Amino acid sequence: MPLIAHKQGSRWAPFWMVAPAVAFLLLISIYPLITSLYYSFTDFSLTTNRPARFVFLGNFRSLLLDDRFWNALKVTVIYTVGVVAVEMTIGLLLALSATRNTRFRQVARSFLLVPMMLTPVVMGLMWKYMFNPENGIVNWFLGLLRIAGPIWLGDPGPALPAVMIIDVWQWTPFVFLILSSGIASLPQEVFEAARVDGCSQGQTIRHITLPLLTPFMLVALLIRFIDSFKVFDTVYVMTRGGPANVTESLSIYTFKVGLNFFNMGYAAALSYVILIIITIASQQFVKLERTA
Amino acid sequence: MKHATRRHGDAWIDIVMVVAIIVVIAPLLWVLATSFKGRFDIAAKPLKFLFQPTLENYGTVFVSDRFLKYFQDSAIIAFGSTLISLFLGSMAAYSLTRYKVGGNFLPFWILSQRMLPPIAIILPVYILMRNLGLLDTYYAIIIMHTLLNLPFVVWLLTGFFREVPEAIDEAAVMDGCGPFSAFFRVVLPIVVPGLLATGVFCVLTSWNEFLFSLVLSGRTVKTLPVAVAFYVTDRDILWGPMTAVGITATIPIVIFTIAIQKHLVRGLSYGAVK
Repeated sequence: MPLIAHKQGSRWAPFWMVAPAVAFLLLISIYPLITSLYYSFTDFSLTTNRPARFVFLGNFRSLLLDDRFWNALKVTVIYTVGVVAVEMTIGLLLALSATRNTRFRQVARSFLLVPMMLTPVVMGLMWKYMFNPENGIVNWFLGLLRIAGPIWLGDPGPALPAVMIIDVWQWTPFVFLILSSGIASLPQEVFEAARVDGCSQGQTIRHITLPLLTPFMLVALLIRFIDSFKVFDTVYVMTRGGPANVTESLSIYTFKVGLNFFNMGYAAALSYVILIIITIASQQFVKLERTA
Repeated sequence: MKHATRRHGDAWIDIVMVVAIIVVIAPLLWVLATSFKGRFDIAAKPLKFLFQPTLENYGTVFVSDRFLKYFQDSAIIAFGSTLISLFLGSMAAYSLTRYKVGGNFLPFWILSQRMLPPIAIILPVYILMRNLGLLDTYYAIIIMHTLLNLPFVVWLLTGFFREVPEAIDEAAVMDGCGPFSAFFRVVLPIVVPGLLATGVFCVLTSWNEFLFSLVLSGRTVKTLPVAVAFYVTDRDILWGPMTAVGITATIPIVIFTIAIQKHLVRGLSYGAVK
């Protein structure tokens, strides 16, 4: 039951409490979104003085013919699918194995909290240092294993995997933590019943833990999907999208078009593509969550 | 599954956890060590694990390159946007939980703002701020960080307010409080722990944010991540000073993270997981 503000003159008070926040969001997020939609239909550019012309779907038509756009889309999809798959797999395996909570594991958990709170830009630079081919510690370590380390960020081959490794390093603990708190919150009775009925550990995991854990997996999946699809910070400081555009994600490409080449109309069209993909995909996740 | 009996193989899992911790912490320790190395030790090949520690890098960063200024800018922006987000967000969250203003739609709409990719609005925001003459000021970045934090604050605090028994606000209203005074005098003080945890998240989000800060900052106002990013490209790559900045920027984060450990999972999953 909602409370009723029954004093005279206070009937509108609950409304006034929400109003500033909503007004702020409308002004700072919806207004730019609409402006951006308008830009995307024009050839608005900051490098010329002539007024922007309305080109209707011209920008979107050019997008379809733009190899660099398709490359950026491919890079972003590989990045997102790759990191999310690895993070979910390792996170889930860790969470399923470390269900029994001990003092040691509580301490372990606090260590694992650290990377996901760190500044992505700083992480990118630190890893750039560790990946450097001259005397980086990554290649030193590979040398111990008798593997010749590649020129991580300078060669088109290993550059994308290198930036993906950082994402996995930073966010796998997050998936682990969400899933293990999910497991901790599941009702104990079900597991006791399963044990009484003689379920093997594998059966319990397959038929009880995993189905009950699905909502938590979807939450982790959704959050990781949204964040990795808009990857910008680490790539920007490590490679700026290079070498040969192999790490140029959609966000990086949009940034370059808009704020390096100042081609606002085209960049706005690009940013709408990102927005549409994220919106549609998140709605699918939410739908899945409702049915799960 | 706290009560499960001890199984064989449990020790193996602990070993796996130790490996996980090493993978997570070792890179940070290596960077920490580098920040205390002189420039010849850093460039040394093969790698040097034993060296004469020096504060040279920290000196370069804070004395010659005046990084204290960027720390200060970052702190002002982080606390500014956190205070505004908490103020606007707590009122909104209270009204949404207690009076159900806007029904189910409004809370969902507010949360959906958080999913918005910053790159989708950065161009109009840049032009808007330029026209308002707010580029290169604290205001522009504070406003944009508030945009990132506000939906999050509303969502997280909704959970905290739901845990406050309604009898408490009812009693306050009976005693003649209006909704505003019931909120500020009675309910808000109860959720102070929630406010603090939420606040720490906001500070960290702002402290770490890069895209808006990069586009909206300039010569007078520059946040730490932006300063660090340019530090590296403008004059070769000076690993020593870079790691020194990285470590210094990380210390407040580690302290804050430990402070809100208990609330961290809830915060990172937008309250979807407690």
